[in-house]
Amino acid sequence: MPADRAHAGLTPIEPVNHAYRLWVLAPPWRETDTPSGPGEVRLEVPSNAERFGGAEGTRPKYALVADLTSGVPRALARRVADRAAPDDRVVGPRPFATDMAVEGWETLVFDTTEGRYRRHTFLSAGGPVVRLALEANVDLDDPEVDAMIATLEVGPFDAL
Amino acid sequence: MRRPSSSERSAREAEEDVPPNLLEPRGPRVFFGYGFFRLTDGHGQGQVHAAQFGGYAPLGRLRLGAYGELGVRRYALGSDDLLIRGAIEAGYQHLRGLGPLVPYVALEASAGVVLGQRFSTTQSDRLLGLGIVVGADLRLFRTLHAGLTFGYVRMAVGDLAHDVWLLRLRFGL
Repeated sequence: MPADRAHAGLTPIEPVNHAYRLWVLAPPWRETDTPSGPGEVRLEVPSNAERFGGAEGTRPKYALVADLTSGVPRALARRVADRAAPDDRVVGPRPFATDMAVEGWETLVFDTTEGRYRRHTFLSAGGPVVRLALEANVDLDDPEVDAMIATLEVGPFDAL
Repeated sequence: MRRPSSSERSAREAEEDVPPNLLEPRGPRVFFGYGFFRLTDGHGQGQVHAAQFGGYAPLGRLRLGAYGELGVRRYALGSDDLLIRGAIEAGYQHLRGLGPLVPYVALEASAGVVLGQRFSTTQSDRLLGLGIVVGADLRLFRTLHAGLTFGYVRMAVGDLAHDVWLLRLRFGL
């Protein structure tokens, strides 16, 4: 594939109902569990222990659950911030827009109890809200993560 | 028949004192160089700055050489990648008629690896390339030379194909 093509080197991931599409770098990303609904996608970047040692069940470096929900993106992002524990570090809610100008809001939380970073992004193109829930053991306020979320396209699409 | 002047005689005598290997240049032997090209990263970066070391066999008009390259590739979204590449060249070099300038054209084949971090995970992609390069060496003093090369190489990095325009600067003996 020519390297200068849009999304070159990325793999399109869609839920069963083709409501949205996310372009991810695979590997290191990979699909995991069977989604619990037609609008859900589950992805992860496995831990080094699993990648090199075959230790299954270890907490992945990154985990992403994408699904559909209802509501208003800004209010949903506000709710995430309100539910954070007092000791957690919270960034947002703040606006976010994808490469395809799908707009939304997001909140980033560092869970001080578990030592995990979480990023909840809610995006809508007028229909259902796409919720992207990312969790990692590294800071998710990161250009790579920004770029990955920005590839989100809202459908529905024809099957790939 | 015109008799050679005294200056022509002294020049010829001086020429006869010079070892033949300097009168008949057979191309450079070894060099250190700098290479620049771009392997796009999909986010507006991908420039490669590399140090090179290589050499050429003294085969007259046949230019046959190889070099190794160690460089960094800019990555817009994180730390830079490491690039390791080896290349071989085979082509023609024009040794006579242009004074200290030795132009050449050659095919270049290369292989290597690009190492980088993506989402906190080390990734490696193999690199393969094939293309054509043109350049020239300028002999400065005895076998000391400077060189400039420009070329087009089609490079495959992982599953992606890149159209690469490369520039190389060299100094060697």
